[in-house]
Amino acid sequence: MAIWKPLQYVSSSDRHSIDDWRKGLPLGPPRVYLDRFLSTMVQRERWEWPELRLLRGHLAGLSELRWTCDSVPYRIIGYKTREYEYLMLIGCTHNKKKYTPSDALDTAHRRREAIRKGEASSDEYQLLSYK
Amino acid sequence: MNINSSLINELKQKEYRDAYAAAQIRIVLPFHIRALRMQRGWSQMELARRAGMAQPRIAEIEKPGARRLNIETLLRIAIAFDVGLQVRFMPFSELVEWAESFSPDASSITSFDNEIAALARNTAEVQGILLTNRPIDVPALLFKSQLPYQLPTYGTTTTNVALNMPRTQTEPISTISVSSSITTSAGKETIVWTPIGQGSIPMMNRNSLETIH
Repeated sequence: MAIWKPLQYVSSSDRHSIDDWRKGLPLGPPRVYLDRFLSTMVQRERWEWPELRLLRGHLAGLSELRWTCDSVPYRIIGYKTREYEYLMLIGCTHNKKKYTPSDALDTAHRRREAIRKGEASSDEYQLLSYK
Repeated sequence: MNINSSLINELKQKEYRDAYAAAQIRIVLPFHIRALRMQRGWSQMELARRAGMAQPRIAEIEKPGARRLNIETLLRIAIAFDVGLQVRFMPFSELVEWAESFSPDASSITSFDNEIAALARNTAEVQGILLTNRPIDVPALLFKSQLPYQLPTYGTTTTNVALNMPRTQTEPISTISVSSSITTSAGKETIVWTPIGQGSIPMMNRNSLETIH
């Protein structure tokens, strides 16, 4: 049973950040591992290392969700908006310490500011359901 | 399972199906291994020692997707936890039903030694009660006799238990049936004992039959 409610960033042009990113992932393991990772995470009361890492510096307050698929580290950068609610801003990979897209961190920072200023919104991320 | 659900629609694609089965092992199992370790209060070092592995390997195993877990590795971990390991083939309908309802943190697996110890304690308590021949406070009796009892499975289950006990010094042994339901929430196990045929036990107080441990 889900404890957490995952949200995703929605741009002013109504682009859903995680839905769009997921659609761009290959149909096999990359997409499935994302689905299974999030499905498992929402059932966990405590989010902690190694699947969660807090970011620092000008990115303080943001965190990244972490999993690996076929030796490629995947990340979702976002932040906790309230108790058991997490807003996902951008999905990316982090291979050999390089983010793809390369501006993922800056984009996450910019999107958080856009949310704060009311220039963008968020929407509940719909996990797959079998019922 | 709904044939038109979003997950089933994805599973209709072979590539998605193949990866779904793998994800259960590579993504979900690391969460489960860590949960079992934490439930035992073990450090990664302790699990490593018991499994005959190096601590950094355990750290990697517990990261979702970081390691390809083979059966030999899983067997060593099962042995370390003193639990069984089942590997079998199944239809996707069964896999989905199980996987989507499985919560690693809520799924505690008791070690064999703990199972046996709990059963032995429970049996000893009940036998001890049967041997007494004094007035019995039934709620306290149930509380005492069932507190150490741990079911090997989680979720909600119902077990009918018949206890023979003397109600007073002068009365003959009477028999009552007790229904137990066990639920797990936020890592806490709640056991509620409900007498069946309560009218025959005047000292019974339902409110005192609930305990949390």
